[in-house]
Amino acid sequence: MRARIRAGDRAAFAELYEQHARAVYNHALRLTGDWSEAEEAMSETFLAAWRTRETVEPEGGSLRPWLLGITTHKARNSNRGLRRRLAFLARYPGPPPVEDFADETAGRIDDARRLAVVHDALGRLRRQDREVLALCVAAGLDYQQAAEALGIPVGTVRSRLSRARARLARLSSGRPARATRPGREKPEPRDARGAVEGEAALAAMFLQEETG
Amino acid sequence: MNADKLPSAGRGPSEAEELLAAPAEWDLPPSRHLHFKDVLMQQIDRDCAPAQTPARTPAQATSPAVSPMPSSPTLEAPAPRRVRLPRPAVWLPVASAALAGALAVTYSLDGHSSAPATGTSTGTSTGAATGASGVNSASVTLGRIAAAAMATDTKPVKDDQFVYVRSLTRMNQGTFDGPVQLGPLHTREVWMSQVSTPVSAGIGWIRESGKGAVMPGQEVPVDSADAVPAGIDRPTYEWLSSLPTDPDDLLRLLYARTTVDEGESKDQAVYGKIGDLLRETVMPPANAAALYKAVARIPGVTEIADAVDAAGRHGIGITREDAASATRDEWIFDRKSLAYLGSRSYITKDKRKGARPDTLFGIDAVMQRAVVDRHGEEPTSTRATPSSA
Repeated sequence: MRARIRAGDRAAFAELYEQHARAVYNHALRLTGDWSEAEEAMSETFLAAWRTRETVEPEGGSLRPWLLGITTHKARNSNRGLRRRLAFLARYPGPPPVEDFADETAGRIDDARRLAVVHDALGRLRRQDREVLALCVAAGLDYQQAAEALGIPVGTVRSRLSRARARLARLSSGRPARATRPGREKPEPRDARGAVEGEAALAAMFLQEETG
Repeated sequence: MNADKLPSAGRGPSEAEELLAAPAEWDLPPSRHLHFKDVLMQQIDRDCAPAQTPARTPAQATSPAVSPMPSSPTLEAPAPRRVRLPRPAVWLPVASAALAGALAVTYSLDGHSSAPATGTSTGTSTGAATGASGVNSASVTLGRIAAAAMATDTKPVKDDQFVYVRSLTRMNQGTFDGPVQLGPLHTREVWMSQVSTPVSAGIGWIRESGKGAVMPGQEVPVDSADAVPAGIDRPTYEWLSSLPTDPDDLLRLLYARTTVDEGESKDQAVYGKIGDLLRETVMPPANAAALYKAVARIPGVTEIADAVDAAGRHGIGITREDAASATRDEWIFDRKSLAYLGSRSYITKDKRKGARPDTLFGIDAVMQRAVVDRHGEEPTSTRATPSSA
């Protein structure tokens, strides 16, 4: 696959897109918290991958770390909504009014709630810790892959991740989920299986800290 | 991994952590998934066409990237969307102290094509738009800055060259809901394409280096799914040189072409837009001078006696603050040469308890501007470098 990508093989890029578009989009969503920014970051990630294909190392495993590194870069550079959000907040401090969700379909509301909760958690971390957590825990990269994605030493990935986990653990022990809004039920777990998977993944997250 | 090994068995993980640790959660609507795949495949075909199939198909000949019509939109693009290119100080800060509550609502603002600034705007926006000869308190200084810009020497930039700008920047790296924490100073280099026809891939390249940079030392291309013509959102030398040099005419044009974000007054939007045009660009002296004279006509622009850029260079500050916006940009000019040095951005309103009213959340310093023939190429001399105090 790497050789075909380096060579600019059209079909290989089609495959690359099909295999990773979803993960790239999700990573962008976690970092930006914004649907349209995430779409753009995803699209731009693949365009950038095409244009920098020759920089791919000939040897190596999955190309996902490379793509997610580009996405992280794009997410940092695409805060188009920053001023709009600030301006909004200047007039409406605090959580957004629930009515904003009124016209959306049920699925969209769930999506928006889940995004708000995830982004709320990530938003409590420093940016660099947030990026590493999103790569290692949510996107499932290992330390080496995250280091490759961000262009930083593995030791730095470790220390950022451990700082992020410590903070998340502290937060989860101390307070209710902030994204729960007045007048709304706390978002329900998607289903029993989803909750179990979440726990398992969380366990993995803490175990890695000891064994990784 | 086994859930039984969860060390903190007494307490379940927070919902947020469960969601975070779960596999990919959201799907792009299938039509968007396909659209962006098309964008990629078409770019690949365009890039490969000249080398592999010299005889172009009609479809390729009329593809957006080679269209001779500067304003033609991409055929497959959805509704035209405001394109904003990455900016060093203002766009890079990921979070601000004020963001926490606003993030969740972003999608609905996007989804409901919100009306532009509501009644909170200051109501002064029509004065300058009609070309009234209003002046502000910074107009004398801006006149001197314009005169200094007029006296500089800039060589024309060709269509196939790149404008290179190297700057130092510090961005906010704090949490969304905590105080702003400026990250370490790092270097940002950009190579902006000067091609005037619409481009989607090849708008420019960014290379960041130093502590805190993502992919440090690597050039990352700037692309857009929608082709962007040279213009107010992609200010090439050629486009900038085509602008009126009469300040009133120029201001009318800028008021007409600047879109307003929610909660922002038109005056503020135009002031911010001019800041974009000054940042990572090269333009003829007459156009730079006209921009500064135009700023002198925007209501509410004020002067700050002492401002400092990311490189620690002190100078004169120019800024604008209005009731409708929560942020404020400052531009900094060398006290002697009156050359543009850099910029700072402040959060001016933060209604959370204990928040300070004026918080620096981004700062930069332009260290070098030059014109080069290829992206990735660094200028050999320091021509066109703004004087470094």
